[in-house]
Amino acid sequence: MKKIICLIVASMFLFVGCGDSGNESNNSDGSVNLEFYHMLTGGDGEYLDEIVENFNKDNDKNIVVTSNILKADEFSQKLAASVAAPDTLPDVVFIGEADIPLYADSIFTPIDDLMENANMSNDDYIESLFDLTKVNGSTYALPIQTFTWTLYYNNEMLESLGYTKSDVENLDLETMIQMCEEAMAQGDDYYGVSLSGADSAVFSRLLYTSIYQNGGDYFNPNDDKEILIGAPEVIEAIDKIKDLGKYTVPKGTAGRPPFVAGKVLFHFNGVWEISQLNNDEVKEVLDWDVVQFPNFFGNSDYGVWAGTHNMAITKAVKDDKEKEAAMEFIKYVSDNALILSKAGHIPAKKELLETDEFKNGLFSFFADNLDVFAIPPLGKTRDAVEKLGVPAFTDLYWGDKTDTKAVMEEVASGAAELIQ
Amino acid sequence: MFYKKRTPYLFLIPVLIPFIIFFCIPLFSALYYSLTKWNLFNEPEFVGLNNYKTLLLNSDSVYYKAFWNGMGNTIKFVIFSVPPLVFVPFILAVLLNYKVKGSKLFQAIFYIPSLFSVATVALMWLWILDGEYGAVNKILGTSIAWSAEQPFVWYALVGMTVWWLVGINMVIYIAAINGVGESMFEAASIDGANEFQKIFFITIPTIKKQFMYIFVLTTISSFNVFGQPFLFSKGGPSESTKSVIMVIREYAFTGNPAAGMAVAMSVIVGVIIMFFSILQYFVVSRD
Repeated sequence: MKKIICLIVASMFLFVGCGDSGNESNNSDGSVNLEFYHMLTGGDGEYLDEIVENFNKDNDKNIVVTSNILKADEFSQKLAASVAAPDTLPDVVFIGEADIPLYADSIFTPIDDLMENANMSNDDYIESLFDLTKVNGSTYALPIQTFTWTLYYNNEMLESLGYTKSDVENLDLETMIQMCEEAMAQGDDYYGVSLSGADSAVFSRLLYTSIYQNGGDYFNPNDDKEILIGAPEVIEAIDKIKDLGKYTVPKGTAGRPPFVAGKVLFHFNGVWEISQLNNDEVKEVLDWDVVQFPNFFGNSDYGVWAGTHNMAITKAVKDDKEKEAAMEFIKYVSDNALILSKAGHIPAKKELLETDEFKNGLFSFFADNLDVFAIPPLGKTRDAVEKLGVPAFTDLYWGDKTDTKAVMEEVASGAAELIQ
Repeated sequence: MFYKKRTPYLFLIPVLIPFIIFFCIPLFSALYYSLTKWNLFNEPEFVGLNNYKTLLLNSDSVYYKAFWNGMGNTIKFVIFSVPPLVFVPFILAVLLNYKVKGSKLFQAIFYIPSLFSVATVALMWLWILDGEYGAVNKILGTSIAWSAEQPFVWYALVGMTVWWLVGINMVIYIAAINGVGESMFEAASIDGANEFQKIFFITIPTIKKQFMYIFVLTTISSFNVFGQPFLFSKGGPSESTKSVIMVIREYAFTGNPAAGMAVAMSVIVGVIIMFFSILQYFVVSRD
């Protein structure tokens, strides 16, 4: 008998840590703990964390938010892996617009009622951004901000080559290539262009900007089965843009250090790098500036890749009190998104755009160009096209592959198979 | 009598229950999901052997191309990395076994990299091998894109993996060599054997089992390579270092997943690893 009791006790020890600990976020002392995940690993992450810290100090409802950061691809993996077990998710997440239709039904909670209870209105937000948060008529996230790709440049080198800011503001691809050639003529380790990170995200932004400006798209937004990545206007755009590869800091070399070292004329990255370059250490060695990304082909379809950040409540939050707390937190971040505009982001809440603080900010001029923000169409076809198209474009850009038509047509047929 | 027969089985329960929960259920679930069309969000739709048919026979399919490209890259990595991971630590262990002054210090130095995470190792080597600012290029006076140009990416991946993991296998060899009777070496010395003869005719045959253990485990872990190419070369250039585990992860978890297909890929990888392990076992353990 003793043996059996010993066995039972031993077995119980095995399962001590295995039980559901229950939802601990709604505490007996009335406080609510919220776990928050975001993927702002660029210079903008510190501003978001500042807002979270302020919220923890300011809110009078005893809500405590713990902020965690994950790289974008790890974040995306965590969301996908959580579909089968929503309880493992954090309570509130900071997401890109592409994740909303993919995960709306499975892991996000509709927030229409919560917004109404908090006296929030759709009309308070830029309409085009708010529309992206709706799936089948329900709102699954609140837009916080939008952002775009930009063109950073070395002012000193620009002037030494005999150009001015006005030339950069009115740049087309032909002139850019000519300027890159002149920049590279200055020495062996001088380049025309550097790409921040040179990873798939950078190439997806360059790809979309180029094909959009040439009248193309990933697919027909009205019929996501009609894939356009192999269309003539796309191939033409890629054939033109891939020439820039010859003037770019070579693959295998980090892009930012040579730019900061004054060896590169142009640097491609999003607005979020502004906060990393806008410090005394960099300013001491580099006289830089930033403008809206150029209209490469001078067409009327001028647009530059753009994205949005949104906040959603996950299905891990079940209790009404917690949902209200989560909405309170999201509203606070949205109301205080001006802090994030220090990194060049544009708040989605309209009234913030009218404040002196925003208008007098260093980079508020991006808000004047909202009409050129080109957000790729949403849905699973976008994912399929990017999954195959971005690595293919990367190879074409670096010259590892040369037959653009064959490569992109193969991408199109592969993407068609992926969406089946 | 019945009680006595039952008791040993009761003692198995603490092991058997986790074994069923964490091994049997996931294994059989995986086999089931590999027979479905499933994107994590929908109810899995049973499609029989279609996923396997696509992966094994349909060479026009994007899944077939991605899987076999990943498999080919992984096999290359196994071929390039397993021999140095088996033999370099053996050589180090033999040298350290002479117990000259400072051998313990070197043992610690060789072992330290294996304590680092793969992220630390990959990022550290990314900077050391940076095309423009990396220490290696500065020393060599070159501007090689170690993380983006073949064949240099393979050299870098294999080099960093050997540097990272050599210490673990070395420790196993040292323990094994220490277990070889000193009297055998003394007898060989009396018979006039030189150092190489002692290694080939005493050390290696005596620690054959440990050799086999290291060989099989290193092969299995090399088949599962993920972190180094994911963080260092991002699978490039032109997906030439994208390992099969990277492909499985991409199709299972990113964007609009094809989880059923990804599970079928992992089942095939499991069978291939099993095949190689059994083959190695018979080859190495053959007398």
